[in-house]
Amino acid sequence: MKKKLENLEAILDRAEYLFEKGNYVLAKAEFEKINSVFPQDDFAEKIAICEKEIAQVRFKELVKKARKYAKKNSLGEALGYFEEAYKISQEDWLSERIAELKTELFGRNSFEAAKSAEDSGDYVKAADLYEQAFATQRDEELLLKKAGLLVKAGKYEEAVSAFRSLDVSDDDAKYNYGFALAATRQYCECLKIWDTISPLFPLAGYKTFSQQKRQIQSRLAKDLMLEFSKLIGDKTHTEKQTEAFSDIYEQGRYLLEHSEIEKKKLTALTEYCKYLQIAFMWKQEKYSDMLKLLLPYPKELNADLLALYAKTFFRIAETSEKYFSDLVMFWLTALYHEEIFAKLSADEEQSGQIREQLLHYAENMIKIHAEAGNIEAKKALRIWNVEKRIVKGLRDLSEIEPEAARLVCSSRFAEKFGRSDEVISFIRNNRSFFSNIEHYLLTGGIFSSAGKSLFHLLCGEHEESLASLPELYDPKEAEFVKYCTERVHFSYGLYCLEKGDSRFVRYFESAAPLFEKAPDYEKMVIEKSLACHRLEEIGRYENALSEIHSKRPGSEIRNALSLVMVRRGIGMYNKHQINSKNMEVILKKALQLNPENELARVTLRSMQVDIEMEALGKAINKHKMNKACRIAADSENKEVKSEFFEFMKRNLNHLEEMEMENEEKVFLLNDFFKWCARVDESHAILNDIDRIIKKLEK
Amino acid sequence: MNPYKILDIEKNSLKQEIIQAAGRAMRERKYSGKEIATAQKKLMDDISEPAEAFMCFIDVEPLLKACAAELKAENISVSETEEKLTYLLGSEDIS
Repeated sequence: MKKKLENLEAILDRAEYLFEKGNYVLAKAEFEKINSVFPQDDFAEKIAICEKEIAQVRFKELVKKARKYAKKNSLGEALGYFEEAYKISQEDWLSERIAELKTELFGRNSFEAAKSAEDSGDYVKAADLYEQAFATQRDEELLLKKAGLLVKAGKYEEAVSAFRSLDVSDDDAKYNYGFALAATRQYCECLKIWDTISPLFPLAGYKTFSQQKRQIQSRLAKDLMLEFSKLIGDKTHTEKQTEAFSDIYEQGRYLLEHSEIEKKKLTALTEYCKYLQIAFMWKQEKYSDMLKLLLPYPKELNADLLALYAKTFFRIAETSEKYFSDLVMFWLTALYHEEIFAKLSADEEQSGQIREQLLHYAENMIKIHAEAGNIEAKKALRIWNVEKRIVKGLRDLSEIEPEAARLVCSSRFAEKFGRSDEVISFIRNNRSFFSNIEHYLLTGGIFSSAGKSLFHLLCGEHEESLASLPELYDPKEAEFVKYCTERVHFSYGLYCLEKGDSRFVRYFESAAPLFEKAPDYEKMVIEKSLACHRLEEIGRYENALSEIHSKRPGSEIRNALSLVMVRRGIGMYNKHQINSKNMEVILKKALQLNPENELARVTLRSMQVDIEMEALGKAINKHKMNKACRIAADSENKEVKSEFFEFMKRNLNHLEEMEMENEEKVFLLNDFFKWCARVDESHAILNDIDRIIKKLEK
Repeated sequence: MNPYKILDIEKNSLKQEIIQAAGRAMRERKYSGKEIATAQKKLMDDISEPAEAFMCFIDVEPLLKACAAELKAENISVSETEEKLTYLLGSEDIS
């Protein structure tokens, strides 16, 4: 018995030892041995602790293994371990992870199954399985795969609807999508997709693909024709029909712009649809929508089309407050177009009145918008005023030469529709028709390659005007471009001058030839130079006039320069920037330029009096009476002489009051007499001096 | 304002029709009396009427006719049989 007890104690010691060391498996076995022989609550508790600890260790091991497999992408094994761990401990995160793994595993299985179905050629099944895989994996590539497989399976409509919801940027997918569209007779959409396929995409380089595109283009053209024939046959003209025509137009336009298909028939077809839509839009007053169909401009405009453009731009300008310059271009051209003019009325005189009224309507409308502050309208109004005169002039000219009637148009119209060269030749050939050289040059200039620059000038856009002068031009238009250049330079010079930019002199270099052709500009610069008041500005005008005068010494410029010189001199003198000597030089120079410059003469005289008075005063103060006498004697100004005699009178009065010997006084009086006699032998003071001398001598 | 729209009449209407249309417009009261009177005045005038007609109507018929003539000359044909579409991705026939 004793031995048995000793044995139990040894087991207990070992159990406790193992428990302490954390070896719960062996500790548990030892505690169970003791508990079976000698059951106690203490042992049972220890056994329970051991069991709990053992389970915990097992749990950790399972989770570790599960994570290891998950990392290796062995989702099945990972799931097994996680599930086993969950049996030990029902933690929330574990259940979530198990659910995730199950979903992923399902997706992967679907993906694998899809791949295998695809490999075996079962595309419908593969497409379905890819969609299932997407449900778990949320990767859009899977849907693109699905859509592509639907194409391979011949399920084109399903493929199209699958592609529609996807971002198709991959070239493979683009081909598939286009193919499905083509197979469902949506040829235009197919071409739009295929046209975005990268040229680097291998298929893009193959002839067969190009042939297939041409095949689709040809099918689209045929479909459009068919649809068009059906619509034309139906005379109901419903809104739905208009939409159908609009569809044909859009597709036709795309085909024309993106294919090399035979264009003549297709162009006629799309144009027909376009005009039908235009008529519909006009009725609904959708003028801006009309513009989308009318732009860009066609290469040629016949009378019907020209009238359509003019009327549309009138309505657009009226309602949108934009496109005023386009209105000017088309309205003037249309109303002076002989065919359109003839249609206004059977009576020519009445047609003329109608045209005037229509011109007035447009001008008035532009004016109203310009006065309301619309900048585009303001510019358009300036252009209108010039263009109206020019077009009317061309119309008058065409009456002499009727075959040139088609050249009666606004300059912007001529430029846009390639008629400028012809108009310029027409103007050159009829030089004698124009009232003066400037009228001739301005008309030609507006139509020349410098016309744009001239319009900028008319709109007060000096920088743009200068920048848009052509560097190269056709010798045929040389005289017109030269005139425009001179005008632009002259105006730019004035602009610089007025804002104080010293570069103005450079731009006045070509003013002389301009004044030869158009003397009004010379008058303008003269008037401006005489109207300005600020000294700096007067100075700049003096430089400008001097530059012009050096190149073109005309009397008007010379007189103006003379006057401006004096005005500048006076300003500087008054501000004490120059002395009287400098002023005298300026005045003499001004008088040299224009001896009849009254301002210069009067100012010079007044300046000379001042100068002589100053010199006389100085001489007297320094008691240099001989010099004073010479100044007074030489002076032509009576003010100087009278100042001298006033001085002598004062001296005479002082002398009488002075206490000095009579002999001394007589001596001085004799000097007085001598000085006064040198200045004026007949002056009355001489008698006074003589009388005093005689009196003193008695 | 479009006088034809105000009076709800077509271009080239007779003066009698214009007067009647003005009366009708007055009764309908869709436009003010001033607008109706101005519209009537414009359309009764020998110069204003054609000017208004020029601005208010477009004529696309000649343009349509020109296109139709072009189409006719080109002899529209849609009877050709369609060649089958060949799927090219992965095909060995491409060149």
